[in-house]
Amino acid sequence: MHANDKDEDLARVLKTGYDVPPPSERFTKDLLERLRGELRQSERRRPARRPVLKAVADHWRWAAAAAVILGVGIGLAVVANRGGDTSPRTDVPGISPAVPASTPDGTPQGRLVPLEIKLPRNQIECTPRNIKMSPYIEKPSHAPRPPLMVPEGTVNVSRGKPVTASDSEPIIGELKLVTDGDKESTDGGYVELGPGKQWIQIDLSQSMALYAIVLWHYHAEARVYHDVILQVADDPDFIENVRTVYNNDYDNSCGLGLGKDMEYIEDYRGRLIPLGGTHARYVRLYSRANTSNDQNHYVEVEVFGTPEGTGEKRVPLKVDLPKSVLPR
Amino acid sequence: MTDAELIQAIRAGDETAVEALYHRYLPSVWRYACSQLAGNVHAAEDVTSETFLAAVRQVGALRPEGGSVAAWLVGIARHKIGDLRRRRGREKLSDADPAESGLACPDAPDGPAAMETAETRASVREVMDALADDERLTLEWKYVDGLSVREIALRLGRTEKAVEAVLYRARNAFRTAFEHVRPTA
Repeated sequence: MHANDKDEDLARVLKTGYDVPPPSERFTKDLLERLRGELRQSERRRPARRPVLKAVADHWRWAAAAAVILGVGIGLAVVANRGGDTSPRTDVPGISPAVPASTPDGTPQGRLVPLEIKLPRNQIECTPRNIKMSPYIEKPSHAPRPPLMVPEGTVNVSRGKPVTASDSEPIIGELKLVTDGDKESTDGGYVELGPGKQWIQIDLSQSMALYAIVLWHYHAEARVYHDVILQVADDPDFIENVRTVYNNDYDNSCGLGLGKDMEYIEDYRGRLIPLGGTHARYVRLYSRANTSNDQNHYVEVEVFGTPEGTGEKRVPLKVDLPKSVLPR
Repeated sequence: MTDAELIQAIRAGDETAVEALYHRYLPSVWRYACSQLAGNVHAAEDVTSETFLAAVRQVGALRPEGGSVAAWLVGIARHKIGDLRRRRGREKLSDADPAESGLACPDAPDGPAAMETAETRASVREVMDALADDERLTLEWKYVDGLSVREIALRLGRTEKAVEAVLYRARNAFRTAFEHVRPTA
């Protein structure tokens, strides 16, 4: 058959397949009006930026010079503070995949048991698409995940806990889906945040020893989420005592420090990140789009720790000092 | 104007750019919603409205270089359909009455011919759903909307060669899969 005949045949089949009624003229007009209104509202929501942007545009040379001076100044201050380490991360000591749970000083505490993680069903039935393997992506493995040993009494402490996000209006779903216990990537089982860098944050209600987090972005399709960064902190604004416990932002495109962890392909097992018994109340997770689209998704996040009264308790260190023999 | 230029203009508050984007992609989003919801026009209207409104709200965060705008819009529509199904308690949206949904057509064939058309339609949708967004959209634009390779390239911000390569892959993938699912006489 001639190529043109084949094309005509294909066009005929596709037109039959997509023989749907057109949208009504009234609907088309109404929606366009609503979109114009939405755009005007969006403009009104960001009035403060315009004068600044305009000023920068008018005096761009001065602005560029000021930015360079400010950037160099901040850079020097950070380097001086951190002894050459320009990364803002504060790693938790002793954390590596599948290590026994331990207290913050690295000493295993109490009886250790394997962490039990209830997995959703495997929904991936095809080979990964659109994933160009790079040296930064972990080689996929179907081997069983080694058990993570945690102190007895470690439980899921994030179930039903409040979730906030950088995107207050998710494109799909609600933030409460992140901690609702449903790990299936089916319709209605996940929340979708807007494009670009986004974060979600879980308030665990109180500070406690945390031993692991298991994270499911979306597992109905094999894909890689970029710039997955996990931080824990004691305050909701993540200003004090922020600890970055996982970071695979290998080019620092999120600006939170160069990540040393690997990117990985999502599957039904989720990503297990050991936390080594670090104490914190707030957990924040960043991501920046994925290999399939620009959005960010969360099916479920489980944080495992020991709620108050069941784990080790931190007390101030008491040291008896000898009497000073130096003259006052 | 390429998609990237349109997005920049919308970010700058240009209403004519919103209009251009809307007219450019309404057919694709509408077709997707309508076919996924089996012609339930009211549900398709809801999904299409929510998709474009969400897109205008989120356009500030979209990276034009991050992928095709059409695929982004269809991605939003896909999730909106999921939302709709969840809100309506997973009722069978596809069971809309054809007369009420607008699918009823006075010239539609009856009997075996109608059945064959319905089967072809179902097969096409099944195969198209399995294609990557860019492949599916490129096929639609070329063979349903009648766009030229040049026009498609302009939309996607790619070269004509690249579009021809996508079309080649998409055609082969469609034909192979369609042979497997098409109803046999």
